[in-house]
Amino acid sequence: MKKKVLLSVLLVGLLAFGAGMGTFAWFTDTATSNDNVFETGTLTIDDPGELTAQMTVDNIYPGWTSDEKEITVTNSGSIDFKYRISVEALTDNILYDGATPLQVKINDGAYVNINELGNVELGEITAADDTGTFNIQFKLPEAANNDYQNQSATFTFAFDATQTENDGWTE
Amino acid sequence: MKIKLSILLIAVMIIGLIGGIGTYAWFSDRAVSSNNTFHAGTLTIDGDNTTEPSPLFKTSYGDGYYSNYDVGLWYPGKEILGTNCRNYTIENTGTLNAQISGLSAEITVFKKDSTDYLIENIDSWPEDVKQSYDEFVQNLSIVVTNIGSKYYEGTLKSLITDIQPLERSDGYVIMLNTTDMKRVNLNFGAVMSTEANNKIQGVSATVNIIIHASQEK
Repeated sequence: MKKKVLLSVLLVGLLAFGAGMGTFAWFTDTATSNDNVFETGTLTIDDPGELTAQMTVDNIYPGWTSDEKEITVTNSGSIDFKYRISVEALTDNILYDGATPLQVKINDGAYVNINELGNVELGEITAADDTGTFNIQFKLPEAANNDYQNQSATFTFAFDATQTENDGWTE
Repeated sequence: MKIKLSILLIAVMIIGLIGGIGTYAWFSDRAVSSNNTFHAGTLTIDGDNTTEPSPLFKTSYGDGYYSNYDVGLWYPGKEILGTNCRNYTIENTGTLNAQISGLSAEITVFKKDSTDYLIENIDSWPEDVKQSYDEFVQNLSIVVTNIGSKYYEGTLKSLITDIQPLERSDGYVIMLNTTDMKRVNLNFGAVMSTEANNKIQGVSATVNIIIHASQEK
């Protein structure tokens, strides 16, 4: 009998202890800095339009050189950027990848075959400056033969822009 | 007859005995100890930007005196650290010693394409807005220092998810007593990771930054 009573008392004690373990609490308080605003900028380069607009590019011939044209590029975002130009490949077109393709000159650089243009860095445009410019000129080498007669090509130039802090050009 | 009488007598004795259990008495008295008063202390803290404008972080504070504190627009790689950090003073205004225990945050409004999206309706946001939100909170980090020691650096996402401990790498926590060490100046910085992609362009988040204190442990 005594053992049963002792066991009961022990059991009651253990249950009370177990219930007590889940009820710890501490005094707490908070201080809040309200309404902090984190606003991101935008990086936007506008389409400069047709580079050959107002350029005579019809009826070209070996030795032909276009006028040098100044192209304006606009930063319509709120973040400064650096930008570059490249040309999209045009397969099976003699003016792009023939033996004597069309050539292009950017700013003070030399004429290069259009299919070897690669990426040409054009500098930076700050959001505050809004616009930047570069010069472009085209020519068809004198060595272009009769295979080039009556040929035409429509080129697409791409302008990549990225933050000036970006060491590379990818996102 | 004798047996019946005996049984009756025993029955009366038993009833008398049971009845008698409830009628025992002892001499007794009572003394009272009065006016024992238990009064709990208070644990309260206040936060203040002191001489700097409120809130801690804002694109622009206008053209006046506080324009030097303009944070400007955020972009991948932007940092507000070091001497550009914002100061926030915490004061123990209670009667108990307090421990600065944690940091958390809550975004109240997320804005994209000139539309405000309330956090309580996040489940009904357009998918592109959710993606922008996720990209934003995963890549914006908050840094908290005090006298050059870092007490926290982590993403806004972590702070929104749960209260994060505010403690030094060696486990030291800031204690505020009620007398000579009742204030601490916390320095808040922020960093936008270079990993953030174009999804965060043109968005804004309104954030409450919450400092937690508990009693000394």
